Amino acid sequence: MQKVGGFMAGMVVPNIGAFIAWGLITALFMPRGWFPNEQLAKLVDPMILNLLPILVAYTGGRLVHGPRGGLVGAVGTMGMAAGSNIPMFIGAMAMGPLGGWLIRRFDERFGRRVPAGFEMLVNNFSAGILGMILAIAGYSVAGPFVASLTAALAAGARKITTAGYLPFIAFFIEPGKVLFINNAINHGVLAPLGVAEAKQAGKSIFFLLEPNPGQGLGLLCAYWLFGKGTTRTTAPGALIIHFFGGIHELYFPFVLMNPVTLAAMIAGGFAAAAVFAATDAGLPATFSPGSIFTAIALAPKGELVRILAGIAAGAMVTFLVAAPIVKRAPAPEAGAEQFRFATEPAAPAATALAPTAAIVFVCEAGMGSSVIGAGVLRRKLEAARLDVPVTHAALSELSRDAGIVVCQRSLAARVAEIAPRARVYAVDDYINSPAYEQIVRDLLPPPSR
Amino acid sequence: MSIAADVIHVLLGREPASREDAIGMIGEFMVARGDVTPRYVEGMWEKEARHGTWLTEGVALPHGTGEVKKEIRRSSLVVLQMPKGVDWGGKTVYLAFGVAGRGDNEHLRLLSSLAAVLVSKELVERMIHATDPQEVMAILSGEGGA
Repeated sequence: MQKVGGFMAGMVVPNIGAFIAWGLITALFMPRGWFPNEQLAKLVDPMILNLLPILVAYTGGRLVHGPRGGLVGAVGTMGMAAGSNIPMFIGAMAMGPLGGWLIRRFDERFGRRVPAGFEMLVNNFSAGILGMILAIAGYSVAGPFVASLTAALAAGARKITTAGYLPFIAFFIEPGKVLFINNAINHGVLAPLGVAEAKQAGKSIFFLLEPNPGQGLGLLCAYWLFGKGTTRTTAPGALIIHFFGGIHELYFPFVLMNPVTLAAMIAGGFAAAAVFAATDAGLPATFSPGSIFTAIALAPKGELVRILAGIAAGAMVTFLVAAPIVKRAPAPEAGAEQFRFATEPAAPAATALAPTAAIVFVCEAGMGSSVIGAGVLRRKLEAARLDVPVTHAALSELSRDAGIVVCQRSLAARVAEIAPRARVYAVDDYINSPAYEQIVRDLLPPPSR
Repeated sequence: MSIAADVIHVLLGREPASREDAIGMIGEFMVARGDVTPRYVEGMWEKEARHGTWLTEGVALPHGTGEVKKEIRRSSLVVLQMPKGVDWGGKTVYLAFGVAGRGDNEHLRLLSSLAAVLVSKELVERMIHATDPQEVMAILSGEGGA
């Protein structure tokens, strides 16, 4: 379970910068943004629909099988992006690793049988053909998938409201938002209900539910205070764009990287809706973008306090539930052997490393486990006919220029600190570790042997 | 590469109450033979408490810290077989290899040879179930079909 969580974070975290770029562009240039600009606003849709899911898919595929895996995953995801009208992040997070895994299977099975001289040709065509198949499959699956998901969540939301258990609507709104069908829910379900109600009462609670920025604020505060590594440092920036700019999409990746936090979003949404309902709060029209400023500006006289109370309740409850979840999540950097790929520049694994780089096996004292581990790894490399020296060292002796480091999982974070450029592989078991096979795979140049 | 037979000592069918106890058995044996001083055994406990020496499924590798290296008089590899298993920091261990290698080179040779044996699950199984010390000896000194 933790491994899956770490893997999802590994797909999302390296791409948060792109989310921020998109968020800034959107907050600045959209029609009701800070500096509306029709031309530059044309960036908004292609970026969120295509660029961001494809980046996530590429990263996911690369975690599984290097740049080739990333490529196939990205091409497959393009099919899904073209086949749907919402950003396909869930699809990308499935298609990316799937594409990587399929091409890895292919390489494992046929890679060594290719006659000399044909490697490039086979490599490119295998990736190309597999990518094409996945893109077509993605295209034909994405549309119906999104439609049925949207329909299901919308039907659920509608049922809740007619049954009168309004706060429970959070169970449909919050997951829907993170799946990027927030607009479908807001404009397709909530807005019509709100318009009908506002006609009679002059205001409606339905306009408050989806655009409420409170829950996102709570989540990002939790990451800001308790997150680790990149997530901690990017949370405040995302928070500003989300809470003041009203671009909620900025917090979605923080949920996707650790889906357990969805519980916090639902709890916050529930609390906010309960406060809105109890105080009989409402707005005359839906507010968009969902920023704190729009909420304040649209609030009728006498409503402001109630609305702010609901937003605050959403933020508080989300924060309280999310804080322990975020705190307990493993730091992505210390996560796993494959993990480093995500945060490293796209150095083509095989060629850049090949025969010159040495491997250092590190343990606390450099006396026991690392010597054994180095011995085992040496045998595996010999068996694969890789002429790579393996040395062993105590953590305190590790050079900051080390290229490839193998260590016990608990030391991975410290190794990364000492040797920031090193490719780190973590092991639990010194004798039978999947990391050894991974190292051999990464060192074998795929096309030319 | 093989381990010299006179370095290997096999203790079969032991039932230590804890991993500390297991290390005590190994240490006592090494000290009684004059291979290490009592200070080395303290180093083994220290190492265990600080980082643990679990190695792989069913196997641990107790050894001293860097500070007590010079307490080794003679290279020694004590194999402690515990058929009932003992809890080794949350994992069950059936074989503990107490290691004391005199001098860096010998220490390395000892451990590398040991690694070569431990990669074979079959040999590890055989050592766990061995009833004759000679069988373990043979496996470790490279005569057991490794």
